[in-house]
Amino acid sequence: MPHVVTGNCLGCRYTECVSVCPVECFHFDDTMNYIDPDVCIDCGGCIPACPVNAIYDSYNLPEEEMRWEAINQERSKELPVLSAPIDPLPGADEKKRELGL
Amino acid sequence: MTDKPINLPFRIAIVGSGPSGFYAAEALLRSEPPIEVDVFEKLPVPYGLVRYGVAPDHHKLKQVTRVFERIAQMEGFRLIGNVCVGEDVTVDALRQCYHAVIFANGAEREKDLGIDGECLDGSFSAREFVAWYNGHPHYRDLDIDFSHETAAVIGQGNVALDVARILLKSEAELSSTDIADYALEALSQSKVKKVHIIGRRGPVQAKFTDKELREFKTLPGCDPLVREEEFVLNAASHKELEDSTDAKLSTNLEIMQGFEFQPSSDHQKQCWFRFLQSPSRLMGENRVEALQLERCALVGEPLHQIPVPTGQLSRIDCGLVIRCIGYRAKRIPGLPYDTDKGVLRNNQGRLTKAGESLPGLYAVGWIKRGSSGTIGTNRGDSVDTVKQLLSDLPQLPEPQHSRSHILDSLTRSGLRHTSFGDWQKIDIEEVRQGQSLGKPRQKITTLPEMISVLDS
Amino acid sequence: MKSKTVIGACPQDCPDTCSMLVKVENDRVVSVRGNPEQPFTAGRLCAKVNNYQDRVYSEDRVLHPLRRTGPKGSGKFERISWDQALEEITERWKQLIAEHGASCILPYSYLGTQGIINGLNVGDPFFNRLGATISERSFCDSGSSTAYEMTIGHTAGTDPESFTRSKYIILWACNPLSTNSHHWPFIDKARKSGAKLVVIDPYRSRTARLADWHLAIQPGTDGALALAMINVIINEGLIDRDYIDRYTLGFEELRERVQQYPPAKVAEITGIPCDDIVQLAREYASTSPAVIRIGVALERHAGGGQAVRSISCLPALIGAWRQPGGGLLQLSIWPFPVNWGHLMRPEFIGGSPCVRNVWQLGQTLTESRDNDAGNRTSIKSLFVYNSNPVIMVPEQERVIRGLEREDLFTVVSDHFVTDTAIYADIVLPATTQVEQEDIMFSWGHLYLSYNNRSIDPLGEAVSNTELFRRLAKSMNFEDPYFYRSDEQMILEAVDWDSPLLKHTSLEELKQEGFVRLGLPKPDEYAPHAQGNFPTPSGKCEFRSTIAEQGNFVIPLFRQGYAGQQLGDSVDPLPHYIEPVQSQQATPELFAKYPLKILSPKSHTFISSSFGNLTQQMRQAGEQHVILNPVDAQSRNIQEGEIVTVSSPVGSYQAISRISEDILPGVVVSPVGYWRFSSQFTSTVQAVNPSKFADLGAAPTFSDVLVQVEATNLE
Repeated sequence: MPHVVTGNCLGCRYTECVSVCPVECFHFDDTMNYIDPDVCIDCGGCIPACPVNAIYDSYNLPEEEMRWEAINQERSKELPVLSAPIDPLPGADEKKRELGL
Repeated sequence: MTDKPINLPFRIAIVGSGPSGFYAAEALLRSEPPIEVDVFEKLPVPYGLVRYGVAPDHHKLKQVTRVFERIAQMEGFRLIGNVCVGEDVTVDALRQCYHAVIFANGAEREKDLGIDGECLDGSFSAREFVAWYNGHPHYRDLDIDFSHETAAVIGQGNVALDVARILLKSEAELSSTDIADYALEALSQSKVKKVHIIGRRGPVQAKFTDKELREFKTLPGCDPLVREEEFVLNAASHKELEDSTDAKLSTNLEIMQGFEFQPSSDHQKQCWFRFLQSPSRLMGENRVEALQLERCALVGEPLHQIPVPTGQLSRIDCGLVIRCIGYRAKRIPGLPYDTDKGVLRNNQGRLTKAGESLPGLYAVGWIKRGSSGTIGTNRGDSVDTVKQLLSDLPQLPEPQHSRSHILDSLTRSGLRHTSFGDWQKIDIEEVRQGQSLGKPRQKITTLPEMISVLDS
Repeated sequence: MKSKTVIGACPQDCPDTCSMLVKVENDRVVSVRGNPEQPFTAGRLCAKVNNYQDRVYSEDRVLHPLRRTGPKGSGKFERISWDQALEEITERWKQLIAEHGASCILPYSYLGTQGIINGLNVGDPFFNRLGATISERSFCDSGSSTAYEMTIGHTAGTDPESFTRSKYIILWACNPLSTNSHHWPFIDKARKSGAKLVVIDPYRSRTARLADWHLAIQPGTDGALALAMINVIINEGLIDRDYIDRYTLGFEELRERVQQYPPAKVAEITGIPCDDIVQLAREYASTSPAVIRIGVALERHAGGGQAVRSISCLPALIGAWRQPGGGLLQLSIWPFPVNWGHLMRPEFIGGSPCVRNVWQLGQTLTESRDNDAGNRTSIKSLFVYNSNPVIMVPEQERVIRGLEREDLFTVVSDHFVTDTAIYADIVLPATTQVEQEDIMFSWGHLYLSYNNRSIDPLGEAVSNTELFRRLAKSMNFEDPYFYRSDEQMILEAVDWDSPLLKHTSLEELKQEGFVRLGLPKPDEYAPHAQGNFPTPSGKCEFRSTIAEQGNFVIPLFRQGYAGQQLGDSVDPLPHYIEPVQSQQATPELFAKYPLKILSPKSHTFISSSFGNLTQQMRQAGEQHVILNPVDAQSRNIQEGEIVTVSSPVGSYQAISRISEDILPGVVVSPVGYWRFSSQFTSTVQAVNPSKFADLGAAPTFSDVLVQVEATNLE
């Protein structure tokens, strides 16, 4: 399993990750982004790009975030691909501040 | 977070007193927090390329200095001239006295053609040649030989037009400008009658502006000329013209369509606008004797066309070649440099290393974005950088030393630094000397003479 | 807490050579990431290197010299001091040299790191001076390099960054998403501006899945396809006559030659329908700029060299070189201003040395010890660094038999006790990239990179440069050349006065981490718009003038030595050489072993590097073999079953994966798994033979017949 978007993205949906992704593996709904694990090549470029530290290499995924692996796998298959950055969700900056970032 | 004493102003150093430096100072001094600005200038006199770059016969353009004079009168502004950052004072020393340093050094090196013979005698960069005719103290002693009838100017921008115009104008036309006295003397003996302005791209892609181009229609005794075979537009270029929202493209083309294919018999001088020609070699034993050109074809899609050499060679016998193909910034030891772009590495004006901002270090103008744009472009550009600086300001550490520290140590080392008031004295003296000669000013072109005006 | 970020560069044998930011806290590397400022690698690393710190601090790192205490292969070692290790090595060598001559010592290495001072050539001056047997390292792109030199010369070729301008891109035998992933965004950008992407590969790789057109070609038949394309392009008049007249040699002979390869005939050879061949040729010839990227895999069959020759002719025929974004990309290493000679010092080689090819290690270590009266070719000592031959070299069982020889004195310098090191008498601890200083070329972009050292070496690990300084001292070499500091070596390794490095000094490179060579910008760089090929004629040589000197391996891969080349005669015109193992060529073999096997690079290993690390192993899954459903069904093999893959050379076990990504009659099994870390003992190199391809002593790993059977587990 490659890279995974986790809970910090929920309610933010910043798309800096999309601008650095070389293979268009990000999908989105109206809550957050998801990585298609079959398309991701593990380049790691999205990790430092994410303003809310939501993305992990699955190998480094903290125990409490493990569930996101399956969610990314499942949701990415049902949702449209994000090929260019879009606006973050309203309230994203507030959530970012709440996260202390 | 800063432990700055309440109500004491922030202190910012700006390196370079050209347009981008002055505009940065203005943006800082107009901003909300109380700020003091020290502008360091390596020469005793300010204004950078306005004084040493703008052509002497474009006097009107130089009126922008009135804006700079007003900025210099703003509260908190100080000019520290005759001090070279990197030599007389280190960047580290500046950081110890200021909350932030803004680099506005401009682009002090030129780009290369990368062809054989580029360094032969008789081959100059525009940077050298322009600084020479404008009386820059570091370039006044260049030995330029105007004894050959033909000169080649390489480049398709306004600098190339400035250079060609100065080469073709008569002594009478230049004597009423602020051109350096030694340059006027040398040019009055010039044998240059024919100038080729050479570029790899076609008439649609050339970066001239219409105002500058038009001047060639009225240059006394000189025919502006083009070659029929070089003035043919391919389909993609037609498309560029049609699709362009920039009216200047067609205006430029219309102006050049008014140029002749054949020189008229009653004019002695010729200015050839050469297109689709790539300089491939400078030839000569010890100095330039000829320039080899290679015909190019434009290939690719509209707006993305590039010149591709075709192998068809020709030569121009000439004694002088001036390369006007752009500038790049000089490296500053210890600061991140983007070799590819020839600028300090930065993100929206914040200097960056390995992707991270370097706190308290900024760039404006050409050293930030490369050598492009007009004087005015630098105003918005400096405002953008200053915005970043202002948002960083609360996080920047309080400097270790006071504002007077640098000046004290410079004075102790025996360096005669200059103030804006000093410049005004030089200014008055230059204008005074110019009056008797019918010139807007007679530039003082050596450092000792400048200082002697102040100390007399 | 003391925290800093150091600009390094990835050392792995990969075309991308990423500028890498190493984060160090309290003198410990805590993470690595891509440097966002490097335009080609653009802030990304990859599945191999993302957690490089795990390699550095792995519990399995060798941090002190070790001496074997048990039988070879038992893994029993004791810690000894560096002085003891050096004394033991050099005393043993002195004895062996006195008894058998220095040629009984064989150095063995490749690109475990590809740093200029610690990589390919770091041991060459030492072993050249010692008089050891020359190690002919035709591991990678040697066949292509010979073919390239015979056709268009050692040129940078098309700038990988200028692919954004291309309108027709053929990726021929390569899978950049796994092995050159930083090139992909440039290809993708071209696609988004309307370029068509064609992938030619027997396997539907990650990249092939994203192609506009995937041509699944039969293994080993690429040369035939290229010749048929030339046939169509010439016969249909799709050529650039002006370009051919000015900048090529031997067009008429080529025209005549390709009449032997009509598309209908080639359709049968390649398995690609005739109409597709014609369409490919027409589209390629009529879309401009068109570019071909060839992968290393292309050389790995009997006719691999001539296949590269044929493909290298294509761009000149249609004048693709005229524009940036047109032409051909093989290795971009050639323009780097590296002082190769000074790195290798071939003049140290005295008399007539022995030469041994790396692919034939099994044979070298097992053949001549009993029957070679003069003992000249008998190898008594093997010195391995920067490589793990047990995993990367064919005839795996034979290699192990050789390594088990009691009379073979084996020294291995590595990060780990690898599958090779376990047979060593002495194991030496080597530094990882973050513990050493180096300067890096690239064979996939045009940036020179610098690797600043981030931390002090762990334990007693030493860089390869220090290793050879110590060995030279222990052997009492006098030439001060052997005792230069790393700093001095870096200074001398590169021609800093080259116009390609005009605006950058070493000091500046150290600070910035990378610099693009002073070539025209990618958008404008068309190196062969007017010929200027670095060949004897200066032209693209359809008829090669240097073919008459016979087959050769370029000296860069032979410690600088140019003598005693293979020399077998080479037809100066491109032609098709059939696979050596096939239904037609070897019907008896085919009856027993009816499947062709491919052993490509894995997505998570680089050759054998990382084959032992948890993260990469977890992601790669167990050693596996991919079969087409047709082949699985006829063998009654289910998904996920343990199967045995065998050839006359040997056999290994793997987990079956069943997929239509591979053609019927072909199986795929990625290389790089370790014997230790696999649930099975042998790996895919157990079935590969050591036969050479036609040019440059390239291997024939894509020209092998095997059988796959369900394993009888009793």
